[in-house]
Amino acid sequence: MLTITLLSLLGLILLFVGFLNNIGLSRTIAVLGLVAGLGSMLFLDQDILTFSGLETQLSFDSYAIKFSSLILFLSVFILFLSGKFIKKDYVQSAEFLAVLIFSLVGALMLTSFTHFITLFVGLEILGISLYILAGTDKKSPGSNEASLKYLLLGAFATGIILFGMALIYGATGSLDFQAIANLGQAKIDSSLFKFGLFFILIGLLFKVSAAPFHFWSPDVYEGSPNVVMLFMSVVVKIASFAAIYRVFGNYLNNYSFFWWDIVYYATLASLVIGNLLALVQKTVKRQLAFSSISQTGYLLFALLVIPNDQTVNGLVFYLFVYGCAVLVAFSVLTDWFGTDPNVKLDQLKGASKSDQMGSFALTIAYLSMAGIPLTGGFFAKLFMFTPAMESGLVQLLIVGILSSVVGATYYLRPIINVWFSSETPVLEKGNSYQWIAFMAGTLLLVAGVFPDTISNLIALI
Amino acid sequence: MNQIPEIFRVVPINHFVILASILFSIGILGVLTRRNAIIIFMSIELMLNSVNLLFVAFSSYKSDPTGQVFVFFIMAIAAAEVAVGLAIIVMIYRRIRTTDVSILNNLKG
Amino acid sequence: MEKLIALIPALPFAGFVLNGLGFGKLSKGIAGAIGAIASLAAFIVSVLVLFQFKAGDGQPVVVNLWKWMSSNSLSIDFSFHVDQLTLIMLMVVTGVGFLIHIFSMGYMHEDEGFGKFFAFLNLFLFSMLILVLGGNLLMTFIGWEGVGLCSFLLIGFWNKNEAFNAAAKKAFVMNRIGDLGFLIGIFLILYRFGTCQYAELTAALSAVQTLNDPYLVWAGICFFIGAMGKSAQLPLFTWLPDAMAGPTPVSALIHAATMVTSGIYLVIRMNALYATIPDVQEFILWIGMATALIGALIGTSQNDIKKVLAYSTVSQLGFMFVALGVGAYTAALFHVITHAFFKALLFLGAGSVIHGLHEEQDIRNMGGLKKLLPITYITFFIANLAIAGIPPFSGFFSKDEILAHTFASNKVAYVILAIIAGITAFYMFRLLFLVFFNEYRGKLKAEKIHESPASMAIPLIILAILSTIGGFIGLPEVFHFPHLLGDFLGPVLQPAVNFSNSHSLTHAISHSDEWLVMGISVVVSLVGIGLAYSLYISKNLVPASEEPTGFLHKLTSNKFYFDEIYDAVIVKPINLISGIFAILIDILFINLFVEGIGILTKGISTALKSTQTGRATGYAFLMFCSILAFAVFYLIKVF
Repeated sequence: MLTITLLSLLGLILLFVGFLNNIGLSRTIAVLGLVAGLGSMLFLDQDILTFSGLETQLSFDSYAIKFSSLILFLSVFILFLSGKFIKKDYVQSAEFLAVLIFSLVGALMLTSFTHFITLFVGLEILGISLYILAGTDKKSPGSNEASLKYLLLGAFATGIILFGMALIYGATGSLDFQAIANLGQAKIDSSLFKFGLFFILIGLLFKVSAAPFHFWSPDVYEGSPNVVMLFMSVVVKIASFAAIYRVFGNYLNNYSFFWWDIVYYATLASLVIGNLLALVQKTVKRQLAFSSISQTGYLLFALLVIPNDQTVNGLVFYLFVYGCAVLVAFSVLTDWFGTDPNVKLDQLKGASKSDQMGSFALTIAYLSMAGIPLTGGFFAKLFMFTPAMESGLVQLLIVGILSSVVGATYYLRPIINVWFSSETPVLEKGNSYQWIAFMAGTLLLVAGVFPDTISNLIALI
Repeated sequence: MNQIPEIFRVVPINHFVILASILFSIGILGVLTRRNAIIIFMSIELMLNSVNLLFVAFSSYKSDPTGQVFVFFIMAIAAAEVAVGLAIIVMIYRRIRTTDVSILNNLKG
Repeated sequence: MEKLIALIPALPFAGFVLNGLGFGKLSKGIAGAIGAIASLAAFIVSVLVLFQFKAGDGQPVVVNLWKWMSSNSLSIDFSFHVDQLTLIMLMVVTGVGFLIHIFSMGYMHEDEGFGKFFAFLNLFLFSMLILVLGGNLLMTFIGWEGVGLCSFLLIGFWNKNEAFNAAAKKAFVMNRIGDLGFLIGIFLILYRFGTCQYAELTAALSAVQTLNDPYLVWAGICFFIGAMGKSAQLPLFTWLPDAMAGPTPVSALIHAATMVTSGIYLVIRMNALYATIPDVQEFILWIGMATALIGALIGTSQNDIKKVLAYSTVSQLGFMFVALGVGAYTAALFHVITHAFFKALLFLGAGSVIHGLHEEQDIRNMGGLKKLLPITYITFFIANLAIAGIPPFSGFFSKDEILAHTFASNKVAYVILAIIAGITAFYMFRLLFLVFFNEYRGKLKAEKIHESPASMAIPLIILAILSTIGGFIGLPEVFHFPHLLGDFLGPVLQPAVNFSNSHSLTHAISHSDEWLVMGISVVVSLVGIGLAYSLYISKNLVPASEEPTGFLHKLTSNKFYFDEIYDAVIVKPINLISGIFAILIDILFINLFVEGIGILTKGISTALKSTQTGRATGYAFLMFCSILAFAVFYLIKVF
């Protein structure tokens, strides 16, 4: 609870600091606040963090702390990367930063809820902030469109989740997950409960943008400002997976008989649709958006296997590696193209001539997303595949490996463009974010060469 | 919590469920068939309100206040959503002079 | 010794880092020197490790560097496994690798991407060393993916044009199909045995009593699919000829001497597995046979000097898989070694010719080069004798061992294989005669054709010496000399020998049969060479060029009475069969298989793409439909 309070206050402070019209100061405060939040998350006693009043609870158990720390850690770098964007004169920097911080409050709630109300409130704090963030590039028609689409479809999904919650409440008379996790047979058999479970699952699958509920995400990702897309594909992905796994992996796993098949087919659909559509994209962001759908497919493996700490750690490892890869990609893109939201894959051609370090980092990021060994991506996938193998999900495993083969072909395209082209691209000469690319790229390599160290660290938290 | 349930329990719970489901379906149909962003938004509000009705009904039948607390949360957040949503719609209206969502299809493929 | 072992892959990696970070800034001399010194140092360290190993007790040395990953049921170390097999591969990879680095310094001298080239070459060497040193299947897989990636980078090295060359992409995709098999195989092994550490795996596999256990059969097939992709076996071989688009030293190193043999390495490494699944061995035998045949047949009608060598590589790899199929692991590895020598030599010789003729690759425009490029000519001739199987050159012994083992286990396979050996001699000498004999047919002036510089000539000479004497490490039983390679490899192959079903590796056939087999293979090779001689020297035939009238004219103007008969009985059928195969392969595997899959995925992608209409209500509708579909499914399942 302490961290959440801290972040809420930080958001308010940032709104007031906005009066000073000093973007550098605002950003420094935001970064310091996030670091303080991360510190409080990692080093303070868990009881201080937990909030209980009425029945509505947030519980910062080790599961929540793992995901929350990851969110805060990666957000720090996203804040740095937002610099170029918020310095545009028509973007309200103070509001942008404040809303970003507020959305983190929602994200943290999604990692730690124990009650339907906190789940719902977390979803909405995150969601509403994102509708705003997606539209912050007011002068860009794409940003407007993304914002409206996200709003309409997001609210639609929220309605579906709520309906499910109401039905479950009707069936069980409780909104506390712990109580719902241990129900008598009579209540489980009621059709209200079954339908409630179904609607919640569908709504959450929408939030993690699993196929076939993914239609909104490529458009929203593409239209949003680059840094917001980065935020959505990293932080929002982590938070929504923390939520779906907390609901179905932790609490409602007893009822996997009901929901398992739906998740199974959604996984297959995400892998197939995400990879196939990424093949035919022309812009960097849209390709990443579809690749993010296919990554959702791999992440959903975690829900299909026997839940244990190993699975959770694998999930965190995967999200960490994926987050780092996307971070590298966007920091390099920002260095090369500024805030241009429509970078074409062809524009990358020959970039290695003007920026070798950046090209190298970008290559590592894409290799990691493709799951090539000695980058973290390989082990991320392996950590997802091994439990699946132990659970005997052979068909799923084969589809997973097969789609990683397909994936490799389109992840190669940016690499080819960067290294093997005689063209000379027009790049902005800015190396301001090279350090982020360098650092996150190093993390990717470390995760590929010493994966056990990283997973031990994750297990330690 | 002793007085209110008496009135509610005159109507069987199934009727509440059916009514809420009908309202919810009307909301969904509205989202699917309307093209005006504001009307779509109103349809979504209808969906949320049907959920509110359901919560209140269940809450009274079970003599449990949690459901009603949830309703307040839903109302508050729906209001926030409307505030943000209308702002976005206004922003778009300023640009394209219409609130027809089917015109907004530049992002696709 | 542990530290030395860890140093072997670290050296080329350091070379890669130095060249990779500094390319564009370092001068060509320094960049080349870094690359070459890194590979030389790796070679020297490998030799030191070899001596230390021989001084030891012969038990495999396992170096656990750090714990790599662990989960509930399994834990995998980042470890190296050094045994006899590893050492032999190390010598081949670093030794031939070093020579090719030297050669590249001369060959690539004019190239602007010199530093980048050496960075990639060192990265390749690193991956290849990880592949052969890997202490478990996962390590090998990492090297496996790494060499595929490097091969892709190096094939595409010269392709800066707009449409990125399809060859590199094809190579990568076909390799990925193979990798898919490999990875599934690893999972099957992990599932079955809970370990993928070679030392433990060998013990576990030796304990398997049942023949053709379905799990293991599938694992064996999956590993073989991996090997098919990497070692260019039917039907995944078409990438290898296309890969000739890369620089010639790359073809020599990756696509002849080292990477393409990693499939054979994998099967030998897993010999304990394959010994328990004879059905899969049979499958390997026939796939190898078909590949050897098709490669050889297509090789007879190619006119690009590198394409001939590429198809010959495909065919020779087929030979090795035949050896694996009959359980003759020593023979297969023996052929890997000798093939690395003579095929690297052939490719480097071809590179020397191409270099000397200023990027001319068409053998119709060559001829008469033996006086102009004497060193290249002599070394190329030696390599030809080796590949054709003329004693006492190295290829004779290794090929003969494969033939002898095949003779012992399957007479039909033996007959086909002997015929393929004859075709091999024919097309290789066709190449030799067309390139070096008769008159020069190209347009360059004689003084412009130059012999290669010393940096290119010296590797040729060293490889020529190796190709000549390399065969003596594995003399046949009848000579009563020790089979050095076989004795050395013995401990690695113990599981396969122990397994009741497999053939004894040293006493496969009687002495009289062995003499017979040797005699037949020499005769068959001589027939092939004689045929090539009569066609391309005596009759001075040149393959049909653009104007077939010239070809006919030459044919009719020739005095020999047998011309027409030759033509009708041998040339035309061979060209016809070869042409048919080339077309069939083209249609079946390239057009239907590869491009078909491409078109299919493109089609599905486009269809799916049309669902992203961009309309919010449309999305809501699609989502609603998905919900309905799931709901129907859910209702049926739950209620």
